[in-house]
Amino acid sequence: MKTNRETGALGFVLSLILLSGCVNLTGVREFARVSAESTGFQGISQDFVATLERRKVLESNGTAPDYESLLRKRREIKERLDASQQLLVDYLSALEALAANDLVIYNDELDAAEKSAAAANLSNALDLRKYRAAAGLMARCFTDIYRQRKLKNIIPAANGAVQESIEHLKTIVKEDYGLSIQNELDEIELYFGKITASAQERQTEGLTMLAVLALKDKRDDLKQKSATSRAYERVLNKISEGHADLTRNITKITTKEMRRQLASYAREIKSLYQALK
Amino acid sequence: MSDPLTAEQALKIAGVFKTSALAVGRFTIAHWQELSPAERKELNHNEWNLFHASEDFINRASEIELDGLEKSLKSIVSAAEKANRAVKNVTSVKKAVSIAASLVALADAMMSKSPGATARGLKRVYDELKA
Repeated sequence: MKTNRETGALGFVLSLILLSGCVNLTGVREFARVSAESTGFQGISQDFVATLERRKVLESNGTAPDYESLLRKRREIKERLDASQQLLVDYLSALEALAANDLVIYNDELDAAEKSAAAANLSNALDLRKYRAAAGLMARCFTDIYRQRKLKNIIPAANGAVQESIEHLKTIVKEDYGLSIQNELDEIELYFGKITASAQERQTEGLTMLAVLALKDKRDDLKQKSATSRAYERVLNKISEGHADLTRNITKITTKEMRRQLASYAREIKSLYQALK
Repeated sequence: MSDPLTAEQALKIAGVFKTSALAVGRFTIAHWQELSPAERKELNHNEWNLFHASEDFINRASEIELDGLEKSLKSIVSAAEKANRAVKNVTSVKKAVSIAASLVALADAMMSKSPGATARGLKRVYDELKA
């Protein structure tokens, strides 16, 4: 009789678990984790200031008050940019935390529940060990459902703002930083052009050769910086694409197909981010 | 007071100043031998000023873009707060104890084989998690 009652109760618990579907949020967690890590990349904001600092040496009026004011403004922009990136990182990290499967360990609470069950003589109906296991599974399932529900509300509600923020960020990286780096390249080309013209005038061919070599190094360096900004832009594109996909398929976030898709976004973002570091 | 320019307009102006700076610099190099040192200095100065103007408008474009970015981020901050609150709800020890207690009650109800008591027990567990 006791066995029948045990089987019935455990069966009921297991049916509940199957019906509610203990969820697997690893896809969301990994996508959010990798996205948070990559969004925080500060190489661009740092170089947005550094490009002006590097050019100070090229210009005899690099210490002029107007140049200092230009630099001060750029430093303020860097601070705002870093702070904005951090807010995006905070959001993505919060999603990661909410999607974490090991968010809570129930051992202590289950001990308490087991004690309460023993005190209430529940052991007459159900073996305490089995009760503990069933209660643990149920606690996990209810928590999972709660986490899934929260993610389903939060992600679509934030998607518009996420897309807009990433667009603004991409514009600053691609257009503003891109033009500033192009300005630096042009200034350097002109600077070396003048050194070469002056060397030719004085017939110092060795100096011309040195200028050509130094220019090549600077050009390579700036091309690398441009490549980094394009890679960061691709990272941002992937995050935006992944978040939009997640929103479109919010009811399927625990399905195998969506987990695979999110894992693919995470892999691509990770690989692009590796190239940045 | 908001900037009368859009970020796109500011960036276009930055591009125009950059093109002008480049033209002045190229002219200086192309006519190097014909120019006096004073003229070279003057042209160099003009070239730098044009590059500075370009960078100044890049700064303005970024500031306008950042205004838009910060505006969009307000909703994201609120979403992050909601997610963090949800994490706190799940991780709260007090809550987990309540959940465990409600599970005990649920188990009791399940074993009494009373559908009404089981439904109430389930609701209690769900309410604990939702609260």
